[in-house]
Amino acid sequence: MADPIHQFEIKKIIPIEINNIDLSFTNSSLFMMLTVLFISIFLISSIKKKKIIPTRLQSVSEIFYEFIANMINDNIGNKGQKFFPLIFTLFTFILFGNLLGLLPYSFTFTSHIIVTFVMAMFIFLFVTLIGIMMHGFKFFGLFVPKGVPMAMLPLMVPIEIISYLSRPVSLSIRLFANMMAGHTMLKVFAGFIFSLGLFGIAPLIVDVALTAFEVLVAFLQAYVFTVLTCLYLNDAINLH
Amino acid sequence: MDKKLKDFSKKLENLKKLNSKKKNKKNFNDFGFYLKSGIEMISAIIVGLLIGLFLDSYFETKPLFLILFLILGFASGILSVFRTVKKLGFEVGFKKKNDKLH
Repeated sequence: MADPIHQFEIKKIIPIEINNIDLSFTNSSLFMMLTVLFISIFLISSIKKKKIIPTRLQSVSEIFYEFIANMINDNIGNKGQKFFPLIFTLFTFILFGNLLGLLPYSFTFTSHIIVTFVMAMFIFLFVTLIGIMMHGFKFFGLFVPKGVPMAMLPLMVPIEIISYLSRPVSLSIRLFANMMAGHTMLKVFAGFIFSLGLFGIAPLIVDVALTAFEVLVAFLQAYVFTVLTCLYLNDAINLH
Repeated sequence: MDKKLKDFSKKLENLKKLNSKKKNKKNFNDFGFYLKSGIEMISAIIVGLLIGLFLDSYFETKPLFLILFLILGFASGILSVFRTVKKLGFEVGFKKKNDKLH
């Protein structure tokens, strides 16, 4: 019987070790590079011949651009446009990584918590730094909720701080859990197809439906990750 | 002429109704909103647990801070879920006057 967890295994392709630190080039890093490569090829080839009436490929990349630009405008406002490259890179990287992972024989790097946690931690530190740079000491006023009586503050401030610190954790767990659960489920149902013989048609139908659902999840999780990044940036930029 | 104008205004009204109905539909945005709440609760508890464990090992006061911060983490998890469900926005703090999010 096929092992549904086997797909998450990290394999070393080129072992590299410097000062007892494992820096091997793994299948995870390979697929990250492939993702970047695919995005570059897609975007460069689609806007190579700029036309007023876009070709199909060009309009897809224009949709991507407008989607992110609108997301930033809706959630942060005009001030947020200078973070466009960051948000766009995040969205395309996660989206293409998720979609690439859906192909047979591929590897989904977003299904490893260390990958998503590093991304979330980077955003968390970046947002905190931006907030402190723009507002100085006033930024910590974020932890003092408005309209709370003074007597409650010693209780509310630690709760708010924990709520703030839990952002990178929830951000990373959400993406990782969704990707891992979906891929495990796909493999579990796929394992039933052959072992059930003729009745294997039932799990096959489920698997087809699940694949479509996984495409939706890939888009949705990339969207949720970026929209939350926008909202966190909004907190830091437009401090109330 | 008058009839034409009336017909047109009727058409316009119908279209407006259709538009407002579309807006009320549960969209892509809402789906992400509800997916958020469960994980929010867990992650707040995890952060509370980690802070408690760290402080305990630093001050060697096992299990004082662990208990304290687990309770605080639980409270902040409840607060986050409450905010998500009530659609008060994602930010720390209470609802603002003109909160853009719903």
